[in-house]
Amino acid sequence: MFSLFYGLWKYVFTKDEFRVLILGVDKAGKTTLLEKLKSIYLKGEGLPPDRVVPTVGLNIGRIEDANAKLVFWDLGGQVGLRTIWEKYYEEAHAIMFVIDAATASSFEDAKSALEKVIRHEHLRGAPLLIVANKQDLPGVINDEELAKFLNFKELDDRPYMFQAVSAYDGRGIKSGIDWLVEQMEKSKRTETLRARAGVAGSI
Amino acid sequence: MGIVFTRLFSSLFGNREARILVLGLDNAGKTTILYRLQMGEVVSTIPTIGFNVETVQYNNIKFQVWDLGGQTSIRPYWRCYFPNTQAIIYVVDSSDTDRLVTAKEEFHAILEEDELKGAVVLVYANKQDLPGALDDAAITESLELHKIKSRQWAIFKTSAIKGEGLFEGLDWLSNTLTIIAGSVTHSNPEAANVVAFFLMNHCWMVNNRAGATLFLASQRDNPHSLCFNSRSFTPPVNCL
Repeated sequence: MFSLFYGLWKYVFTKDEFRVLILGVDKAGKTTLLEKLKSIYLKGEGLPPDRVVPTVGLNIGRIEDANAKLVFWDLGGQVGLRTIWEKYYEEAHAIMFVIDAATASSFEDAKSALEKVIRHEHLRGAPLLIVANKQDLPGVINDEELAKFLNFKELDDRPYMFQAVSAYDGRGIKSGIDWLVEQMEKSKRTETLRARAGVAGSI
Repeated sequence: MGIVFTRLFSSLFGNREARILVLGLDNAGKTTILYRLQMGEVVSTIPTIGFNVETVQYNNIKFQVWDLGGQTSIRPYWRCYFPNTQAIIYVVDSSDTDRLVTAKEEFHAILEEDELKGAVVLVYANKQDLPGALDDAAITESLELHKIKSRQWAIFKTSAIKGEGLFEGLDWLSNTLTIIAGSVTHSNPEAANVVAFFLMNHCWMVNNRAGATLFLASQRDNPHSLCFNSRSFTPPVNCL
């Protein structure tokens, strides 16, 4: 009897856990974004931007939204380190791809890195939030201009959105996360990952 | 008696210290790194039988750094030091390509230990000054660092001899530990007992007036000369 109630309680109150990969070329602002995310959702726990150092490995952030638990994996973006990105693809529910929208010289590199990410079969169907970061800086382009510049044609098989964000002052972050959670909740990929975890769990 | 020591040691290892283990195969450069961090000098070292421990103050954190001997016969004793550890520095000799597989196996065995579940991992791809040393990306591949998914990790190219990369690693460590402080920094009485055992046998541990923790050798003259690095190393009986 107890286990029945427990099961019900678990069903009603257990939140889904979603894993989100934060990718992008070096200096795009991925770790600063992660720290801002933490300070928004965990009330002041994030590192201030001036203490962020280039990532050479994995940073992790865990936050809780009203409906979901989110685990963020922030991976280093330097060229030599990008080979490890794909090792994390299979288990990720969604991707945030961060672009420094204030530095036009980084766009080409960002574009080719993003193309590779999209083409990878382990990320099939994963919702994609493209972050036009550094909106606090002068000379920055907004999300629409960035979309026009990147001019992607092969994004049709997945939900995606461009979002203007400043990881420095926090603007745009919440609406981006809300969109991601909504997309992950109805994504087929989430079901697939859940089924796979269930099979692994029963063995 | 045990309780007295426990109290004593939890007051000495105050909450603002981070306990860090330096691990790696023999001849990876662990002891050289420890003294490079602590004194800023290259000391000539002998293979560590037992351990060295020093306090390194950096970025407002007192790192209590334990350098454990890396030879095959001593590795089983590493686990005596696992409780209450906030971070692991894993040192790899990047030029010793023949033993990278062993380095990888030891590394992943450590990560599976329950008592180290909460510890963050910093990898030093050491000996970058040697010809044929693999870079950070190659060491990442060889150690299969990507298999780590539930804790933070970072890798730095270092040369303990030239003093390169070491403090960049500590920067990362102090940032990372500041964030997770509070959740992991409480003392574990059992761990303190193990420490006490060692100290009584080999060294005196003293708090000076400034509040700094000093380690004084009871059997050797020079307090810097590897206070705990005794050839007559006897492991604690209660941890294996």
